[in-house]
Amino acid sequence: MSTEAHAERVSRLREAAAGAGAEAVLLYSDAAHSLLSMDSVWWASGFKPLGESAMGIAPDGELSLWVTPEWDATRAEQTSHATKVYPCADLPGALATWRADCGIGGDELLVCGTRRLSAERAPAFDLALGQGWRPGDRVVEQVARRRDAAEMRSAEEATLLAEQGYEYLLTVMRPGATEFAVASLLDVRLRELGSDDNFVLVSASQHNRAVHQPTERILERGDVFLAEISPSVDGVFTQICRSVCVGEPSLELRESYQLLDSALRTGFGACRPGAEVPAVVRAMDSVIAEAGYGEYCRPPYMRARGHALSLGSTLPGDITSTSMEHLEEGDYFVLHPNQYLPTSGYLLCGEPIVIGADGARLVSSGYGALDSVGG
Amino acid sequence: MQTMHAVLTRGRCAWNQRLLPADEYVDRLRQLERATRPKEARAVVVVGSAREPAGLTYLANYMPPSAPAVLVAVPGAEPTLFAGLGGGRDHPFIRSICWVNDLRYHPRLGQGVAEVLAERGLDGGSLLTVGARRAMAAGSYRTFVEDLEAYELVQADEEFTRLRRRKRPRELRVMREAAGILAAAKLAAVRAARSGQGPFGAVAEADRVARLGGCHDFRALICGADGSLRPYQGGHGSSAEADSSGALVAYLAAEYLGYWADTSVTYPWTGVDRSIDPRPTLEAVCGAIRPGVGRAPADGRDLANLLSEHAGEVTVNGIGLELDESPLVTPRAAEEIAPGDVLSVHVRTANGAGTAWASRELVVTDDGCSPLSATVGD
Repeated sequence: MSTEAHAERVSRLREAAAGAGAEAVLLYSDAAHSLLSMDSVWWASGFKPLGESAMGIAPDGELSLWVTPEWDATRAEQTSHATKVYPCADLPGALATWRADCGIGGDELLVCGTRRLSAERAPAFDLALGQGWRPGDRVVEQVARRRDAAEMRSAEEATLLAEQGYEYLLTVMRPGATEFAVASLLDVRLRELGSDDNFVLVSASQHNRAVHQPTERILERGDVFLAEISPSVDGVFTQICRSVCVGEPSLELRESYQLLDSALRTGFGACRPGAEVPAVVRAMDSVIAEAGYGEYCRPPYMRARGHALSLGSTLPGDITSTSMEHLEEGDYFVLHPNQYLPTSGYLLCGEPIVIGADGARLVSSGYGALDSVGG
Repeated sequence: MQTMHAVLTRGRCAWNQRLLPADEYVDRLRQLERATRPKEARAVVVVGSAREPAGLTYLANYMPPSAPAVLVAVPGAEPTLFAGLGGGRDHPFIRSICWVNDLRYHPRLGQGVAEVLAERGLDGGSLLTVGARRAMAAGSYRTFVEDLEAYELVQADEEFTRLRRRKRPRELRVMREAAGILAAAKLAAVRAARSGQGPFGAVAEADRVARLGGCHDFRALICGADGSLRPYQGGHGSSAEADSSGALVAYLAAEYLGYWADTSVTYPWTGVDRSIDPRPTLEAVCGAIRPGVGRAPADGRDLANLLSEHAGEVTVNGIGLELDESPLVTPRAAEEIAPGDVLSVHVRTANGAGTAWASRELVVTDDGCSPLSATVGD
């Protein structure tokens, strides 16, 4: 992330904090990285926390970054945009000192990341931050919601890696290999290509009930191999969802995949600024229901029709029928009608998309297809 | 050592019943019930999360990949595991890796636990909780407590930690297997470095060999030319970006069936300045480790002196289901070392000219300690 892009993020944050009546901002990370939740410290500082960390934006704009474990401070100095980096053994104590030095009352402080504070750690932070501090998770999520150019570049780079990873996966997937061996080779390859992490679910079965973490199961001819490939670049995750048949796919399998592909394209067409998230879900579900599988459009046969992708805001959240969100221009998420069908078992079919002024745009190079290997 | 948390922890995505049969877990649960009997609780509730999975993996062979999960154990009754996302979509998979038969999904864990307790005829009394405050976010924990307001919640984390520290024979066997996998990975890293690959490339080769050898998770820290540590990952500002042929100094860790082994690699040793050779310090630290050392200053004098003398260079901590678990032995806050502990000892030394790293895993015996395995050493 360039210095200019970083300065722009901090400026947006300060503006939003002022709008919420706060003089200063404190961002917290427990360093438990997730595909589905924002890491505001990483997003705002450019530094990927290894241990519990925090970043403070003082009323005068000075940026302080507190890092644990202490030995990781050198990396923070080299990779973050903070004005000052502090190696830290007692994070709540350091934050209390900072607040006192800045002369900030608890009620003048907007705090983000507190949803990630464990019950064990929360009391010490409550004490350090002072009474009346303002929970700012939603404020920061809203600021970060419209992805900036740097974040979209990372999303596009990550998606390219995902597609390269998938092409590589097709070359190593064969009868006799274990799910775990295939996933491992993919994982290492993605790191070598430049991914800083990878959420990869890879599983295979003659009749999948769901996609899950890879196991020691040996691939066999006739298996349907499922892969959710989700590398990240500068913390920005992407996700492509692919289904591969080991051997020639049956007619039933092809028809099932075609059905989900149609649902994906219909959902894609329904994604535009202002659209209610449940309306997108209904559009996708209607395609599947019309084919006679409406009863499978609910858990446990599926979970969600998509979900936001960190590093930045995870709005609009899960793409579900119960969501209260509307889509906004700049939203970035994966849309996937992944689900179980009685004819084919569970199938994956999904692409990362971004919402533009006129509708959705694929971040990937195109829609995936039902592939086959070892036929 | 603390490493970068991976977005997807993999640990228990396999269940090897040859090494860890179901009765191993049943016995662990019984041991926990026995250890907590003085507290006169009516049930034990163990909570785990992706970040804090150890309690659940120890008792249920389940590592939550995302949302927290809860094990409810009422003495004399079948235990219940609440796990998974999406209304139980993951349950067929979880059944394949977990011995607990009563597997359920509940969007609100406290309510689910209350329902199980009611089914078991428990409408009040005290419940022992393990891991709840560490594994749950503050807000979720508040809701959890509210949902169980009919019960008195008593924390039993200390008893559980003590129980988990004394490694059982089957745990030691798995940890030795993990060490064996890691030894092969370390060798692969050295071979790659010898053939001219930079540190990142060498560690990537170790990663590949470890995973194909059966390990499920792999972590590494790579020492840069300036002596600072970088997590093993690709991308901008990473260890990969600065990769160039040269000395390989790194920390490697491999996880097998939930259990970790760790080691260090320094290549080539011939280039290491004798003044920073960490091996004499490693020998001295390992020689000072015995039961009772740590909390009692008199008994722990030798080790305490060594840790103070080499502050910032030496780390001594437990290893098992976590890379960094109890006991933590530092000059600032030492826990007493006890028989059955498995310890990871690291010595990393540096001067302006370079860095060297040596390490060893030890099992604490009744009168001293011995190497966990002959396969991973310095």
